[in-house]
Amino acid sequence: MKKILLYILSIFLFISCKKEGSQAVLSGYQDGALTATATQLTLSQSAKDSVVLQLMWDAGKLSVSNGYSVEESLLQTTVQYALDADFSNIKKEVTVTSSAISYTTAVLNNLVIGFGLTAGESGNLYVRLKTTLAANTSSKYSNVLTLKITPYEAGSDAAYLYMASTDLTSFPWKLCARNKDGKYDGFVKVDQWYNFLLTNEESNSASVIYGSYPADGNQYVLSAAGDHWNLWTSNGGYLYIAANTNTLTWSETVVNSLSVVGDFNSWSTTATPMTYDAVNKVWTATITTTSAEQWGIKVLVNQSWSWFFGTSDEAGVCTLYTADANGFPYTKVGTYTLKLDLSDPQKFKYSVE
Amino acid sequence: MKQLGILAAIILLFACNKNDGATTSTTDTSGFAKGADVSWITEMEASGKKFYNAGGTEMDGIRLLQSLGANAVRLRVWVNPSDGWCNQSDLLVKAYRAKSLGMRIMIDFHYSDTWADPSQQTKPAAWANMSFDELKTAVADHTKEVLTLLKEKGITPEWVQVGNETGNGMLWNDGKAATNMANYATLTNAGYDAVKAVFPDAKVIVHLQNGNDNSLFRWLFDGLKANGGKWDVIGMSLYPTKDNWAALNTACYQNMQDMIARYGSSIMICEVGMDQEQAATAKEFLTDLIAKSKSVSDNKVLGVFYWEPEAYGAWKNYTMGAFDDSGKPTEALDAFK
Repeated sequence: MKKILLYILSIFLFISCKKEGSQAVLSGYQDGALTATATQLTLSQSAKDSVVLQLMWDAGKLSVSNGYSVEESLLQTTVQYALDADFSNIKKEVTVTSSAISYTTAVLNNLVIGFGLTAGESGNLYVRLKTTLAANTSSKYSNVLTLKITPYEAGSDAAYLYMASTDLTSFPWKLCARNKDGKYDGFVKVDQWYNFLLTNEESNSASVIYGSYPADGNQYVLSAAGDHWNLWTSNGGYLYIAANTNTLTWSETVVNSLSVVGDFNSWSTTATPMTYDAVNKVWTATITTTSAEQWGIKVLVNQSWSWFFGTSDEAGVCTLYTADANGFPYTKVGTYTLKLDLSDPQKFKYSVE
Repeated sequence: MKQLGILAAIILLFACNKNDGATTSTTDTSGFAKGADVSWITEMEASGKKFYNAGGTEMDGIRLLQSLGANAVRLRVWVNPSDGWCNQSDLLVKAYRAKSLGMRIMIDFHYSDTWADPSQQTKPAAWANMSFDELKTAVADHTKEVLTLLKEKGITPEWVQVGNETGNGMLWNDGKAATNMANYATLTNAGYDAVKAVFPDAKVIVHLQNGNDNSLFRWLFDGLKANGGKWDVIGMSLYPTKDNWAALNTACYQNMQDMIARYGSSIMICEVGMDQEQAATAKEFLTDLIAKSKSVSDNKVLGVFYWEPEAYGAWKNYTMGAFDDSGKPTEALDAFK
């Protein structure tokens, strides 16, 4: 059999030679050879910014006979990641121009946790290279690398999740895990039926992209696998969004009102509603006081005494509470505008002007 | 019979190749080296930096430099850098890529965990408390370990630098040339012998800063020679400004000739650079330096390497790259064409 193949090869090569006078012959399109700098990795948060894994390959070098020039960009190289050796469920595909990819610990950890590996346990990540010459030709694949990776606790590094348009070109809002515990939340203003994704970077090549689990009835279940569906809200409007990357769930709550309460309005939940300024993404209310607020003031969400903005340790910053807490300081006397900026959920900022 | 089949295939394959016409970016691996130190490239890629050709097409950065005329890369290696970049496996990745592209390779041993240059030649933390004999062994072991890693992947560096910008020696204070030239010579020889043990044909470079400073070179290499120090090639850095490049080139040219006459060594210009805003002047400077280098008889000047040309966009606050802020090469690199 081998012999026959060789004869066929010889004939084929002979023919390609014969043609050379008139036709260009492309060479250098080959199966890539993929190598990793390590195949067993125990990731550690203490080394989060250090380079920990590098993949490199030789995907060939195109050349053409007969003096034709060839665009290297003809050759498209894609790195594929899967948790199964057969690649029946590809978790991520990255198209690359460089002939290597380098990962710092934090980026790799986010990636594999997003794929579904469990923190503290060794799991297999399979990687291979796909090279494609043109849309109508069959692709070539490299050897498959098996990487044994033990990630650390999810969500403990990335402080933000970005609400991204489904084409990953705009990132209008963000959620924050203020305690870096994988529990993200934030306030957004979107249209009804808005479709979105949650990403760990403001980039279309974000290493972790959450959508919803691809089955009916799983709108509020997060999935970072490549086959996820979009996330969406049937409500729209001003929303409080919470996402938990440990439990892979998210939730939305419609914010119907923000209202200021204090001595100045006898702690009325309805007397001083705030108005949303969509251009500046801030909430404002006009407050008239006759003396400094001795208990501070609170801003209630949906008129709730158990969901409000109150005191924090930092000037100009208030904290979102779901339990009893003090108000935040308000010492101005007279008529002023209170501004509340919730657009960066790491710190909910307020000012008095 | 089977062998015949293979033979036939091989012969035919050869026949085809022989008749090949022009191909894209064929690398000239003989003669004058036109190189780029691209040690930052993997870290730049990991941080999202992209590289584009003049037409705006995104390309692999090393391949792009090759298409611009570079036929060699220079890669530094640190012993145990805190964030891992430029350690031996990061070195391997870059060397493997260059080798895959058919480029020639220079390895630059700093013998430190971080930058070794005229202002600091700090021992690697793990070597800090070693006796001098242990230090000698550490230099040899590290050199062999790194080079063996390359060898196992089929990578053969053509040149290896023992120390980086060692105008006052290396591995301070033991190897400080001003206070103990003999120690510096001993440590250099430990590196030299280790290189030859792994790659007998590799040329060992001892590289100093300020290629225009003949008295520095005479002092250091006289000292090395007097203490039995070994080297094959004298390496030089040269970083002029737009105003003094012509004078520095002339001084460097005279220094090259003096070094060749004095020691019989070959010369390599291991590092050059100029402010990226002065691209037109940089091209003039490089063109002149390459012409002067090539004019030296017997091909004694082996090549010129631009230091980190791919650095752009305030990368590490380095401003002497040869790419503009959009990630495209400046005209400085036209000197390599």
